[in-house]
Amino acid sequence: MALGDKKTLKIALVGTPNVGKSVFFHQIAGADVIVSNYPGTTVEIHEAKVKRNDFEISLFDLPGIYSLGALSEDEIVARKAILEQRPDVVIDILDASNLERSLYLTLQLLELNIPLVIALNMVDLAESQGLHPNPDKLSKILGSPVIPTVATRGKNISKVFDVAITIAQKSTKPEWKPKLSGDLEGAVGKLSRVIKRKFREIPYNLPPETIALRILEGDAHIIETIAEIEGSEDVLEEAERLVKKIENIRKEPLAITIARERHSLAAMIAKNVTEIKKPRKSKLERLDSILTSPKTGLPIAAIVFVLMLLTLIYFGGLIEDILTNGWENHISPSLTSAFSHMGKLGEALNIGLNWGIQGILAVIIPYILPFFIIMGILEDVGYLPRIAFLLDSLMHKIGLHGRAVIPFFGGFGCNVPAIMATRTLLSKRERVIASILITMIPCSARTAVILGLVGNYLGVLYALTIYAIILFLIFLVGFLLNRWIPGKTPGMIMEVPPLRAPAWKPILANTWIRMKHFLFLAMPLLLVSSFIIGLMQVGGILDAIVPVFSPLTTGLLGLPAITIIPLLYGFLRKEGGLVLLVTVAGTSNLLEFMTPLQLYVYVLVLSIYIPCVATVAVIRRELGWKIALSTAFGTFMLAVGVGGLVFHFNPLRL
Amino acid sequence: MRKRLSQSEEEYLEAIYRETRTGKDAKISKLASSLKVKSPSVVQMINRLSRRGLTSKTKEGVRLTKKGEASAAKIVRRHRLAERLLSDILGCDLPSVHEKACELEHVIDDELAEKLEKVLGAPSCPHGAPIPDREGKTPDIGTIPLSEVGEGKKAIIFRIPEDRLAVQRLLSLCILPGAEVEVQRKSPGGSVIIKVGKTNVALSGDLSRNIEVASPAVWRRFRHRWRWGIRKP
Repeated sequence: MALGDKKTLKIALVGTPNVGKSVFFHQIAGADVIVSNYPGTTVEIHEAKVKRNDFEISLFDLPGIYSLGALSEDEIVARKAILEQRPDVVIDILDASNLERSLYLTLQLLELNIPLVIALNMVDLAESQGLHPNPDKLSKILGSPVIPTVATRGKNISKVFDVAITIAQKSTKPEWKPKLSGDLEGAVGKLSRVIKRKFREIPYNLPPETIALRILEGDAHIIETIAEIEGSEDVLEEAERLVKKIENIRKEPLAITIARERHSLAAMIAKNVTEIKKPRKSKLERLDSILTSPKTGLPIAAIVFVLMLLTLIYFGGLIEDILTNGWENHISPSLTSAFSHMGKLGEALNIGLNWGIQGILAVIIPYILPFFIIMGILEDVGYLPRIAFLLDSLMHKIGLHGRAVIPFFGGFGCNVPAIMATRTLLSKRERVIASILITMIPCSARTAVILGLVGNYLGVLYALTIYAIILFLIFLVGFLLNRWIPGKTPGMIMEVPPLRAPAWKPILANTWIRMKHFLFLAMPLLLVSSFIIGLMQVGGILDAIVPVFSPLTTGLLGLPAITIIPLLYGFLRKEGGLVLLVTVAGTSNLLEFMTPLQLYVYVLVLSIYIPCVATVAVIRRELGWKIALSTAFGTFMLAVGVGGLVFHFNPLRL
Repeated sequence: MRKRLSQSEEEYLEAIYRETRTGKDAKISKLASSLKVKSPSVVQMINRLSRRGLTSKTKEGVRLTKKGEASAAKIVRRHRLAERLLSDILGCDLPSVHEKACELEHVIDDELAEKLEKVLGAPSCPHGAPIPDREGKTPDIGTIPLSEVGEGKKAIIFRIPEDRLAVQRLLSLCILPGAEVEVQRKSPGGSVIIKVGKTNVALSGDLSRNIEVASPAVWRRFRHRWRWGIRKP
């Protein structure tokens, strides 16, 4: 048949089920698809007319089948379509990740000696499993063009069609036919000679060898077709004789022998062309294994943590300066003058409001907002559960498990939302331990005090010793609480979501919700307690307090008696202890007012004693008055104890 | 005549039995935390049990004598049969059966246990722990703790812990007897990340050491012959 000037082509798509054949078909066919039942069956055939390279192509998508047998309706339809409709070329789609199974069908197609193009599909999936089939090698063995494709991404699909069109034009037949064992091939040869002799015309224009093999296999469809042709009795008689002869020797039905031969041939080819490498991990999977291996994961976690703190300190400090300067220079003076007509109460209101709003500008916006955003990012990309996994064993020592790392992390920004986040812990015991320990974590306000006083006047190394002392105390208290509080901590069972790139919308939405919660809790407290302090100051109560507490401040801790005032403010807002200290000292060079040791002790006590009022309030809300008050009392005793020890023994030789 | 064991004595024997399954002696502190009592009460009770010849004190803690082992196995047998009854016949949900069985076990006598065993026909409790037979013996399945499976290896879960909170969480993530898991990562402390279905789950060391697993082949054998693990009521 000369097809050189033919302008219409028939192309059939064949392949095993789930090989991506339909995807393949729709990539080329687009939306214009005719779905019809193959005559007399329920099997659907999809057909599409496509124009390409001046050719009218009618494209058939045949049902997915494993072999060209006659077992199921699908198989019969597919075979009839190939044999009776005589497509100009058949595109055989192979599953690169399961080549052996696909090749069985390919071998049968090759036996038919029809123009064939092979698409090696799903190479991406195969490669991810470490299988690398070589299309050139496969092409050489099968004597037909082989093109690697990824149908789902449309990769190389046009190329397959271009090659198919060329093949169809030239009607190029495959250069190779599968060979069976010697005795089988001998029988096929003998039978095909009988067929050639007896038949004037061979059904479907198939090679006589193929017909012979099919008859020997006992293919009902072929045998029925042959039976109607003149001279078929001799052929079938000869076939019967040959089958008996081989079955006598092989002791099994010939159909099974042939099927097995094809299978082992398919397996051999698949093995020959496929190179097996270790499955390559995706970038995210590799990152995941780096993040969760203790050797690399722990240093990375430390770096992330330090980076987070540095961002907060520098970036937050910058914003704080801008906001508080703006407030003090532009708004605060007019507020003061507005209240100045209202006498003593006005003065108290002025102090309260000034302080309260300044607190929001100095802490909430510059430190807490960026902190929430950073936490949101770490949460959204799925990093936090990985830290929890790494630190799980360590946390068990203090009666918690890995999951508690997440609120702990949050505590470095602000204790209040961190304590709210302990709700994710399973038992009340854990929540109590975690909440108490979180109140000891230096939040961003305390970090500001530690760096502003000790870091500034004594050096960063001394500031780090304060962190070390606090972290040690957290560990010690956790260890003791774990022993004292009855019961045991149930282990961590936590889903570890896959890593992913941050999705900004949910991060910002979450940040907003958290900010709202936080503001509702903290704002009224800040304003009211600032007002109360204002009243105390105006009423002269503060000055009266100073001598009352002097046994504690001067006697035990060795501090100037007046420092009780900034310490009291520190209960409102920890960084108030920094601002007010400068005020009561009456000088900006604090070393004229205090010795280095006094400064060190002051900061240590301020960092540990009683969490700020908002933290106490949130513990009360979450766990009740008893825990809130005992936490306040306990941390106060701890701070005084540690401060007194440092003052009297001066271990750092300050 | 031998006095019958009191409920709390039974609880102690049961706890010691569980703690000594690994072949090590039970530590006082562990017993205290698992029974939710103070250490002095543990010591007091152990003295009592030792006087009756059921336990013997060692350097490390305490272990069961032959006699104690037999009594403890009987209690454990009743407990696990009770769990089966609760989950298979009465349809209680898995997280609650352990606590309920703790009550029920004390009213089951040997005769009742025998009958229950016949009716239930199960070799394991719903958490996948083997039920000791009349003589107190348990089949040797050859399971290992999940914490000892290598990275990248697959295994089938045979047994999960019984604690209600843990079971609740494990249940919601389908980490149950019969589930296939792949160990993705291990940390030196015993924590593991496992893959169950398509989800990765991190487990603490105390859980990974208390989840028993075996190869898929072993599972198939036990599941087919004895219908190990959970059944639909």
